[in-house]
Amino acid sequence: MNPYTHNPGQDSRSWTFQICSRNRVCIILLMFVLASPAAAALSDRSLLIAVTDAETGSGLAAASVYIDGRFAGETSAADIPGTLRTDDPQQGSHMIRITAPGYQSLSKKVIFPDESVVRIGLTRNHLVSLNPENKNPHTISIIFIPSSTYYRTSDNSKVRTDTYSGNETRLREDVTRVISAVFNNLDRVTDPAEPLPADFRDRFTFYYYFDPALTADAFSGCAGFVPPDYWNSVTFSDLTIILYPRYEGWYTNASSQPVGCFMNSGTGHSQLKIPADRDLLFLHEIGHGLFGLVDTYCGETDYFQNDPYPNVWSTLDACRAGATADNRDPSRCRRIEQDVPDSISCRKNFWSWDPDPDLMKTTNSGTFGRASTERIAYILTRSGMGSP
Amino acid sequence: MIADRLVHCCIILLIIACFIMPVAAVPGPADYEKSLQIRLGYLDGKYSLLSQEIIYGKSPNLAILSGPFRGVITDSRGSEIMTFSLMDPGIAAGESVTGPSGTDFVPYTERRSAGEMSLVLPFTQEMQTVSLFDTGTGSLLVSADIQPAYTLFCLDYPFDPDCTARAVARTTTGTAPDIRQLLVIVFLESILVAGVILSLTTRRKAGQPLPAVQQTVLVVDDSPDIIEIVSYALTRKGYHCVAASGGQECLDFLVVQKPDVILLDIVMEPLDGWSTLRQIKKNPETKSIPVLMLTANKLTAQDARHYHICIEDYIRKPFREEELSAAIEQILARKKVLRESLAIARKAGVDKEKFCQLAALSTRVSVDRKIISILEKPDEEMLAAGKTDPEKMEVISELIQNTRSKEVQMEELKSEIHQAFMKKGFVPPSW
Repeated sequence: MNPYTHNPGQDSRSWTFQICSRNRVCIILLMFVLASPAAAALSDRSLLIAVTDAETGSGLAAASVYIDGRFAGETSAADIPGTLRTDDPQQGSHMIRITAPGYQSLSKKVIFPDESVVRIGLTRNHLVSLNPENKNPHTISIIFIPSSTYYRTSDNSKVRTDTYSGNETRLREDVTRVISAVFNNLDRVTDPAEPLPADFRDRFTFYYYFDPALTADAFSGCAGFVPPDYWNSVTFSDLTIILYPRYEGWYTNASSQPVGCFMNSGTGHSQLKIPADRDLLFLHEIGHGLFGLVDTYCGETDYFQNDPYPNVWSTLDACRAGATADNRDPSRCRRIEQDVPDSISCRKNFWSWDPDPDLMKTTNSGTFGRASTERIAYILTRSGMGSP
Repeated sequence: MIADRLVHCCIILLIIACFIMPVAAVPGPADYEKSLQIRLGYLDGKYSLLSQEIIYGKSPNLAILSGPFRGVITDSRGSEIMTFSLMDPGIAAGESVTGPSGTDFVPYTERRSAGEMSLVLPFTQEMQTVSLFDTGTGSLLVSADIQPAYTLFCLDYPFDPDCTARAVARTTTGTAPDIRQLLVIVFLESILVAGVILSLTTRRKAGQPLPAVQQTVLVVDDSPDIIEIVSYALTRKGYHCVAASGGQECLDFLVVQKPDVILLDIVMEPLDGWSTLRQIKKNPETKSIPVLMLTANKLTAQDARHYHICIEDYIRKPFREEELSAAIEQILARKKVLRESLAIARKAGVDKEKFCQLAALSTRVSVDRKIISILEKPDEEMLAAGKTDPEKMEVISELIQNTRSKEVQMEELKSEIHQAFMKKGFVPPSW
């Protein structure tokens, strides 16, 4: 008995199976028929993915294409640049993800075969790496975003400025100078008795984010405002620094906005604002924002014992015990207090050890004391561990 | 026979040695790094989960964080797999400077009693729960089960390595297998891998393209020819086919692997298709696998009465290739819609039991209608003999009644669930 019969009027795939028993010849014959060029032609369905630069429209070669989460290949550099053909995908919806160096990755849902040609335009990444040569896998990622405002104390008002948002070169120059004066100089403003890791400069990766259409506002709230879209493109940010060009004048009254401010709204959402021209204040603020140091001046700020390796303790005994354990003189532990002229005396139930002038206490001079340095060294060392 | 199998094993091992190892050693450009993003809201010291999502991208360096809050990530057994510290999100601490040359600080502190915070964490497969504690008071502030986010992510990216690993982990969880079971698993997995490699090699040789998505179909039939023909036809359609030559072999196979669909022949010895079906549906681990009955025999009224609730479809031999693949596609599409809609239903706050009840009713109604149409077809032998089949008429009537009552239940549930979807701005699924 013939194992299968061909129904006239139907295509080559419309075979009716008549099952015969143990006839291998039938199977072989069937395979030949089904694998015939005609059958192959009928099943030749493919999905063409064309990746372009959204701005210029030119094809992007070497973009990585993922279909439903699986790497499907890179777009071509030859033939039709920026394309990738994937053959015989299953019918239905597919999630296509494209990544390309220097561009923002993009995911798009397509329905095949309704959409057999998919064009995807990638937008250039607004994030510029300042030390791309640093291949250290576990670093502290610091991203500068320009503010479109600065502050003037003469009339206590924020002023719009395009100093950075309209001038990428100026932004880059100021960011580069700050990195050099502040971050690369950490060994000069810390206590040599507690040496920092020798490669501490390689423990940072620096970026700036430049998109004239998306800038921060340093004077919207204490720590400034960063548009939500920014956070989506910098999920790895350890510290975002809102840089503004200057703070004109000195504090005059309670309505003045702060010069620098730090806020942590969760992991990946730490932000501080700072002017580009006050390096010591910059160090004080990264003392908070990066190294978790607590103020040692007396005032209405937030105090807590910042274990481990604190620079502020909640009891005198704890301060002395810490000092003894670290071979520091326990008698140097002192209460955070200050006599404010013409006002009531300020006195807190917290203690510090670092000698004056302490960068966490004063703004015009000083260094990080030994207790603070120990914490800075601890954080820098831990940065190499990645996620705990 | 044994010699043949030995030769096959050797070929498989050779293929694995020759092809897999070098391929696995070549570093690819693929980047699958992901982060878990949790959005929390806080109000007067109380925290609540607003949303959670797994996205592709890098995460911050948790090792450098400090502060009075402690985040703890645990696995499914409750063991800590990662901890981190962070600051109170309601406090922004800043300074102004004063004095003749700006020597003194003037503190500026902003305290917010309400707001939002985000946790961006490196995603790993083992993650089950993320909890946030206040170390000052020792109290638990909020806890989030990340499995819904994982499920949603895998709906969009089913072939991401973390999703395929999850699927494998789910099919192999349960009691620890003994050495014999492990050997069976290793052997079957080798066969599967070799099958895939063979399929790839054959396709490459033939200049044919690779399918983007493959779902596994277990073909159970005691006729090797049928297995071969069906497997060939389905492989051409992009399915991955595995075979069992009898009911018991099918049940043994299901211990180590869960296919997406089972094609089950009815007439088999010693364990027939209906008995195998009963075993499959009795086992909680396999009862949700859709089963499509495949037989040369007519569907009897008795079988329809007993088994209609256990099957997803019924196909009679001889069948056309399109008929078979259309039936499988429909089953898988139904399964996919259910999976996707269930994830959205959770988001919409729809009661899971109600949703699953509606999905089950929808499947039953659709299958029963098909069974009714099969039974309603005139039986030529009976017609020729001028006889009627009272049992058949009775079963048809029962099924029609049953289906109508299910349709009423369906309408009620549908209206309730649709309202919940619409309320949250989601498009209700089509049933």
